[in-house]
Amino acid sequence: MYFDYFTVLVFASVGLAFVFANLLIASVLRPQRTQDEGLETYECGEVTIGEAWIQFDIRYYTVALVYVVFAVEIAFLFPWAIVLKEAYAGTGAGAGAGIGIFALIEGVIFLAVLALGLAYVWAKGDLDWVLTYSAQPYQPAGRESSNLPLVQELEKEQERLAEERKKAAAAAASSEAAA
Amino acid sequence: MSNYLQSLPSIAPEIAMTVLLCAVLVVDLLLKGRDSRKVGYLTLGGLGVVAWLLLGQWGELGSAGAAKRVFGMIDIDRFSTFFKLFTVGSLAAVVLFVLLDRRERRHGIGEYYLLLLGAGLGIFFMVSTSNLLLLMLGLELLSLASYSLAGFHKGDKRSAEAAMKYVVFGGLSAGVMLYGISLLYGITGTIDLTEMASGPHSLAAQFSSGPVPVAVAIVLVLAGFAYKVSVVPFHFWTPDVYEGAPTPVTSFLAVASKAAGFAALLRFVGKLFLVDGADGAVQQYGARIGALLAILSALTMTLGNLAALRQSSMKRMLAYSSIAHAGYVLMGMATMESSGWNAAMFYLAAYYLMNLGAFGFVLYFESVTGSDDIASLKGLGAKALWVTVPMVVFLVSLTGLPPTVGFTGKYMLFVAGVDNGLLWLSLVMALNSVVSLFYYFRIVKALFLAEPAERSMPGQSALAGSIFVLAVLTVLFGLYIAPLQAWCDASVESLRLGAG
Repeated sequence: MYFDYFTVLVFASVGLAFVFANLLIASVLRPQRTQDEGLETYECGEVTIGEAWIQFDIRYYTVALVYVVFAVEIAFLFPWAIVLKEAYAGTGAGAGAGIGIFALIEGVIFLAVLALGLAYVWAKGDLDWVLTYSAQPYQPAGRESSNLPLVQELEKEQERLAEERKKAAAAAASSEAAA
Repeated sequence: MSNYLQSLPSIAPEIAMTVLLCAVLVVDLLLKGRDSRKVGYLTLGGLGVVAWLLLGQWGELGSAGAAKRVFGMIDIDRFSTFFKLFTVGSLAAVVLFVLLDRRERRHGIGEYYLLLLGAGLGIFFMVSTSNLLLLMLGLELLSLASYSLAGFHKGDKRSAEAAMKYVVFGGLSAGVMLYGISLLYGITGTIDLTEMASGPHSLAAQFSSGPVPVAVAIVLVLAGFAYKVSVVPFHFWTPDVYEGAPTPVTSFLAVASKAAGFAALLRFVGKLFLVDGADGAVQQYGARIGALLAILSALTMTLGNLAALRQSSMKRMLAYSSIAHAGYVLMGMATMESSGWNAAMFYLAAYYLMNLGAFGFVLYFESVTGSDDIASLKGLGAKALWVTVPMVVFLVSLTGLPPTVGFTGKYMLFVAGVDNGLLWLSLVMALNSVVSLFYYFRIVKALFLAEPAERSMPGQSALAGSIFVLAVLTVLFGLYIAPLQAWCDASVESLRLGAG
């Protein structure tokens, strides 16, 4: 009953065998050199500096995200362009007529939404790699709990208590001095 | 082509939502992040338009058989419109909460509304498709927006932690679910649920030949849904995320996001197993799925209620209570009969109302006391009767006592369980309700039975007003159940008949 999946099994085993067979052949054929240069991470001669486990600037991720936006755009626009071309090239009366303009409008909407994303990134200043001094300093967006009435009440209460304590201490000190 | 153009009016609410999303982005950019309240008002107005379109659609759909399928993927039926209406309603409430959250900044939070609308759009597609690929897309749109929303206060450690936990759990479960979907595709050769139920390589045909792959695939997909609605083995993220996320976001996650997960789950199981005139193999398999759901339901409600007993933070307590409520809804599903599903739908509608209200109350108190600790409520009951009395209504409803919508929903679930041979589960639910009474009434006790506090309660009257409206609705639908019940019946009926 699982015979349908036999092809999957064959595919998987051939794939695995292919990988290991090639590794085996390579290990037999390749020259065995164990000088220090051969053990470097980049054999082309680039010397590594430090480890890869370092903190990257968060802005790399922003750039990567913006890149994804445009990668998706390209990936979508190619098939769209093909369809558009075919729709216009349709032969005879009415063959594909109409879908061309429809597809064009859809494509424009798609581009407009993407452009909106770019405009957003731009307006938020994420395209400037070097931040100018006029740029806003980073402010962590915490919760503003000190604005709350009760918190203010409590703070006032604490201030009052602290003052009372100070007064009491001062009174005690003065009575000691008098004694 | 003309087909496409003619189909467009059917997805007018989705289009309106997308346009609104873009408009919110543009307006926020034009305001340069100043005075984000204006963006919030725009969002509210836009949601009103979307709700108006949805109401028109509901009327237009008329009888249940009038469901439409758009672009071969989107099912426009009463079932989806029902959930979309409730989604828009809860989104509007959440936007109001954001606007009235005194601890929220006034400037530079336009993205808040943008992300909420994005999540709402994801829900729209998620609840109205039988196409597993589109379902996954909708789910991911919802999830991605929810992750960012959970971490919206990025300077707050708990908020960042909530987002991180949510992303890790969400990514894992999305992967599990996708794997299940790919197995289903491998078995049946289609990603459309209707075709899966009736096509040439339908699941029914595969049950008899090889039950194991089918079972593995379906359980994996169910696991993905179980994460979204926080059913027991996949509930671990819920308390931490609910506690750490900003309170309006928590109310969104607990209400709209969870109900959307249930909607997709109902459609998934319904399209495959709750089919009219299904043959024996399908019914037998459906019964097994029902048994699985029943066990999960019992575990979920028991664990949720027991864990809620010991919580001191209101948000954490409501998180565990929302796990328990997921168990109650699952119980209605587990009957695998229309009556049980109607009850589940009704309970979801009730859940929307009472939970939104409860979170509104949490927000109100948080914006006065700066904490969501139950202890900080002590003796404040008489200080703000306009909010505390509605809160008692919500708690009564969450417990399942009359005369509230929560009672009606639970009663319907109980009867459906007894009628369909799930007496044990009905009893488990009744016992659980007693347990839940204890922790819900800890809030009432703190509010009214402690020494009256000397503090004043300068809260926001607009927030109190919206909480009051929700409380009125909670009682109203509890006493006058006919319309809500009719809507639920029509929705489940449209799910059964499908869009051909």
